[in-house]
Amino acid sequence: MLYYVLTGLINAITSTILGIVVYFKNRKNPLNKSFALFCLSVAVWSWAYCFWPGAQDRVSALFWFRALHIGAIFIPICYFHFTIVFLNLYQEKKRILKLGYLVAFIFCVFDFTPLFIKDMVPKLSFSYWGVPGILYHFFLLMFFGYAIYCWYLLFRARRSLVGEKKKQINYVLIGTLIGFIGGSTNYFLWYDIPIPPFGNGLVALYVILTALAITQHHLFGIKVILTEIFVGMIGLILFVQAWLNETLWLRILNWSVFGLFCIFGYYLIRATIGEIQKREQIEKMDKELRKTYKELKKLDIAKSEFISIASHQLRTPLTAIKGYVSLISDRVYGGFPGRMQKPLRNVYSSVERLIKLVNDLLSISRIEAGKIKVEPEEFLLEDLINDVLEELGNLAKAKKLYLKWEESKKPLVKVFLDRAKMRQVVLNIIDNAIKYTQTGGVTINYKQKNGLCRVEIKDTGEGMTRAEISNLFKTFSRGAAGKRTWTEGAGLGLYIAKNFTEMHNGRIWVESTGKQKGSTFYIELPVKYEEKT
Amino acid sequence: MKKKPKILIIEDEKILAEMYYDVFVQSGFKVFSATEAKQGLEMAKKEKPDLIILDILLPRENGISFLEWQKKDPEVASIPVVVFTNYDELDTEKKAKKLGVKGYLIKANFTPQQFVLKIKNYLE
Repeated sequence: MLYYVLTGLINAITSTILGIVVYFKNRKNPLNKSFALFCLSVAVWSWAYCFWPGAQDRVSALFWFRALHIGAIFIPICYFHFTIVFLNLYQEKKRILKLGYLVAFIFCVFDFTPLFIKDMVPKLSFSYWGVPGILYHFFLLMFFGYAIYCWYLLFRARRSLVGEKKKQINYVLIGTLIGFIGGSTNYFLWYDIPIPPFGNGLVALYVILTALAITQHHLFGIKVILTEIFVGMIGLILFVQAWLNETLWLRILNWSVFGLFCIFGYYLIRATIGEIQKREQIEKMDKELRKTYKELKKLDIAKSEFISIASHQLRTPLTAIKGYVSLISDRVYGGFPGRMQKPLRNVYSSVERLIKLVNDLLSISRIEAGKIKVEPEEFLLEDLINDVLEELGNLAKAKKLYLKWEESKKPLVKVFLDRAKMRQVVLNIIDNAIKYTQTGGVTINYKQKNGLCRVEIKDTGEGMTRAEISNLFKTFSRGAAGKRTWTEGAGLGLYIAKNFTEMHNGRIWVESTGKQKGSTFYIELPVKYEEKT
Repeated sequence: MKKKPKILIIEDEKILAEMYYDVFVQSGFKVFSATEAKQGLEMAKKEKPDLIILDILLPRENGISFLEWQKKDPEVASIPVVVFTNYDELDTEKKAKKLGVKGYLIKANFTPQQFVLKIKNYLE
């Protein structure tokens, strides 16, 4: 009998302490409240269990048996309550909860009538054991029904979770599973199955495992309190031991141990507080970072949309100007005096420059946002160069520069690259060469060798110093020649060309032998683009 | 005599619509115009053009909605569509391509004559 009294006592003390600690840690938190309720139901059952085995007569045995069943009736409902709060399912499942509490209250009313426990009779080694009334069978149905449903909910939630919450569920699930199985050994004797309630000792396990969930994984944030209780209890034992010692030497020794323990205990509590404060600080920072990240994402989307809309708005009138000027130049609307030719060409090239600027700005905003992807297709790079030269022919002609295209005599294979981006790269480099050349011209050369294709653009322009070359491919940077003499370029073209080339796993560079000696730009790319893994 | 190719231009910018209308007519096309997506769909059903030129930013419903309706309507689903817009937005381009457009061209990058040549290529 002592085993049953002792296990009852252990269960009672652990669940009472845990319930009180959790409740007073945060009285407003529904999770703490529901867990405290669950502890209370186990505590009622356990405290009454301590008295029942020692009952001297049938009447007092029946009284304690009925008293412990008040706790037993509420255990599954309180467990369900705790589970749905823990899994954030309260709103969804609150009707089932209310029904459970209602049924539990009805059982409680009948608990002290023969409808619930009919009588007390001797069974196995017990002088008194309950005989089930009709309602007792329904109570058992409810008990296991709610418990199994809780485990199902916990298992289901566990599958979709990772990290801390999953670990908490593991502890709660294992703890309560063992606790319930242990507690269930009380029900065999009711149906004359000769198995005594040997599993009572397991009930305390739910307390221990939930405590682990608390200390290791912050279920209720009471790590500090538990550390303080632990230190306090050991301190008290050491204090009593030191006080009770009879010999001086032992007393000195025990007081010293007590003193040392107090110092270490103090540091242990301080370290725990420090750790928790740091963790809370990190959690706070994490929250703030997440919030900022979300806001930045929103801003980023808004910025992209704005740039797309703004570029659309800018392009629309430019399209009309470009279109009508080209139609007038082609005499679609009839002839015009020869002296009009030059002004029309100037309007056209100015519009083209504006369109290019809008395109460049859009490309830059995409590069900066990391939104650009390579979409390769097969095409002849020499055709693309031809198209670009045709487009820039007028610009070179206006500056009286030659554009020399040294086509390869060997047949070249088709490349597998992003056509639109390659067009922008070649266009930007040749356009740049024309822009910064005042006399002479630009020579373009294209070769293929060892799976690589190389385009060379050689101009007879200003040339560059080493320092200028090192800054050349950065946004808004131009060589000294650009700063001094010409102002039309915004310095975006080379930056875009570099980024687009590198996206294709290629490289772009410039060589210049010095001032007044011109420059040569090199674009080197794989013939077939392969995405880096 | 060779039959004139029929095209439908769905474009809400009046100046651009007029310009492209003129240039296509002069290049020997039979041209129909619409300024809204719904109107464009009705016209496509009625005239059965050989190709549709579609802008994206249109009043009320945009070009993507037009493509979605067109795809679901067996009467016009097989008519090729070329998007011709200044709205250069990657997700929109992806959506349009997913909905089966022949090309997504940026207006500002083409002179009307270059665009006519492009369309002739598509029709071939």
